[in-house]
Amino acid sequence: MAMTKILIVDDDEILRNMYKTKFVNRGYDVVTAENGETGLNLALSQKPALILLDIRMPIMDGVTMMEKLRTDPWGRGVPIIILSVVEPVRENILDNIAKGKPAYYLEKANTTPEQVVEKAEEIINLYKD
Amino acid sequence: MNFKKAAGKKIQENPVKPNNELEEAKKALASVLQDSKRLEEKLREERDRANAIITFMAEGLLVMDRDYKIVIINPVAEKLLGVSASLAIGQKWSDFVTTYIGEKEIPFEERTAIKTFQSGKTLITTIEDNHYYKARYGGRKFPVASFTSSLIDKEGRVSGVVKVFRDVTHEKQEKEIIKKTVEERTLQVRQEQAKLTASIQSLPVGFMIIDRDENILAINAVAKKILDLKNEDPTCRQICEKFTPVLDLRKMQEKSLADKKALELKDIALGKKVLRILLSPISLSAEEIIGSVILFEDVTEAKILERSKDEFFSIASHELRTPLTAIRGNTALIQQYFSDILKDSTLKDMILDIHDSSIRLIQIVNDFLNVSRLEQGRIEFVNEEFDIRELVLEVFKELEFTAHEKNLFLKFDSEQRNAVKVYADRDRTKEVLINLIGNSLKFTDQGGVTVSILPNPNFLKIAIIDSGRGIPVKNQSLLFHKFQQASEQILTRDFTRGTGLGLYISKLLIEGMEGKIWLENTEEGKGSTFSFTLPLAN
Repeated sequence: MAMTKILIVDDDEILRNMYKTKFVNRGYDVVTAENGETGLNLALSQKPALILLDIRMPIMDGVTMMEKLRTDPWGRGVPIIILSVVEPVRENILDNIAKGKPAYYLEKANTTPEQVVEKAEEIINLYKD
Repeated sequence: MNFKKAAGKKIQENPVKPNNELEEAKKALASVLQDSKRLEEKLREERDRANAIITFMAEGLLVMDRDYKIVIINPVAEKLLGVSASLAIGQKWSDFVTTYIGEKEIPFEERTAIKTFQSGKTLITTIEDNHYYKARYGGRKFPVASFTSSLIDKEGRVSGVVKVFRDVTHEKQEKEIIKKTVEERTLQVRQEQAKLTASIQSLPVGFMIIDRDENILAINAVAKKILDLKNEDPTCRQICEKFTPVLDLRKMQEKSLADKKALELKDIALGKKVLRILLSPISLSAEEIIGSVILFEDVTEAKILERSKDEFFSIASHELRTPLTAIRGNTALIQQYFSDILKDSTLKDMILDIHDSSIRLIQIVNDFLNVSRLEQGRIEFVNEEFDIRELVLEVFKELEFTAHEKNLFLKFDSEQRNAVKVYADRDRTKEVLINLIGNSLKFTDQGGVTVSILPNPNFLKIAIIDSGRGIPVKNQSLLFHKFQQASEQILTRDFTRGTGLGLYISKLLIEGMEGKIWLENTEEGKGSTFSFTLPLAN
């Protein structure tokens, strides 16, 4: 059985590797991108089961990447977890972005890798065909 | 017989006739004498009366003949001129008394007595004419008001002059004082006015006064600059138009007048500027309102600063939290995946310490950012109806471990069996409860913490009662302030955080949800009660 594919888009290499380690250890196939542009291309070519998306990134930020992705017939339905440190608290802006579901918002700093993976699995199960 | 009788009678009458004439003449003479006597008496009476008037009148009186020689002088005139009647009578008025206008001597032909005599006209001088008399033989110079009239003889010629005058020294002094006072007051008023104008002009904010008819009574340069008014005398209408359609300034002013209350308008956009406007009615009394003061403050720069401050926090947040997230996440991963490799317990403890410290650091960063956002009013509260009882029990569950470790009880004291619904932000209420109950646990060594809820008609009061050490009086006023912990270590009522911001954040949060928070009561060695309120759900 093929491994479930996850795309991690984050400009911070350390965080990218950290989440990758976590997901690889859980038995996922992980692809990573360091900005929205590469992320968008990878998403459309690899069609992952879930995308972990950072917001503040150079070249193309997470919000733009998501907007572009949502114009694609496949991209419209892929579940996304927005992982950001922009706001220390619940942020309405990001909630609003997330309203074009399936998308979820998690605060990076206040979430452990374990919690991220738990949330990811919950969402993947929800959207499994 | 009849004739005889008649003739006889006639004869009898004749000798009587001369006798009668004499009697009648006598009578007539007596009558004339009596009349003249009566007339004389009447004249005397009149003279006495005139004398009395002349003697006792308050003014000085002089009568002079056609040679200007004094023929009558009354006691007041004697006194005023400093001479006796015996000396004055027969003296020529112009030789006897010198007259002045101010400092200048009046020449003979200009003197009122002379002019009156020559023209026959009555002349009146008042205090305003500035006339003075000075008797040549001593006596003082004094200001006078006079009345000079001519005397006409039976042929219709001017036979003399009568002059009535009085000393107006006191009146003049009073007038001088009044004049001086008026001058001083005028000067004072001018100075006050100048000060006020200068103050208004040098105010750093735009200032404008308008009356009830919307006339601009005063406007300073700053106001004109802020409102971008080019002309000297702007009108209310012109100013109101500037704000259309963002704001109906006139309506706001009417509202402030009707409510008799100042009205603050924040973040009003005017072109590229952001203004703060304050409208305040000017009242003379509780009833009488004469107009409004309107202040305009250009807060554009403050707004820009606020925005850049916000950006700074956002960047700081990102830059600090990204590496912290990595430390926290990676230490968690090490503990999870490499616990079998890590044999050394000291190394394990060190990694645990790194992990815990990173969590604490993240919390501190969170606190700073939260305070900044709360202070700027940039945090939105998502208010909803929820059951406070349920939330308290949820918080108890989270703090159970801490309480158990210290062997303390957590008690929910409520007679309410049903749900008690409040209208607030559930997550933030939870944050406040964790902070307050956590603090109580921290400062209690025996006994425990009781939470009681008390619904009132419009709001719910929640009290957190502990049996802890209490708060000394000198420290009570420092509670709920920013960084209270920084000033004195012992002060901290901060459980979950190490920043000393816990109670301050709780206060900002509760106030943001239209509630109040306060220290209800505390006794050293016995415990403290903190209370807060939240609006009840309808």
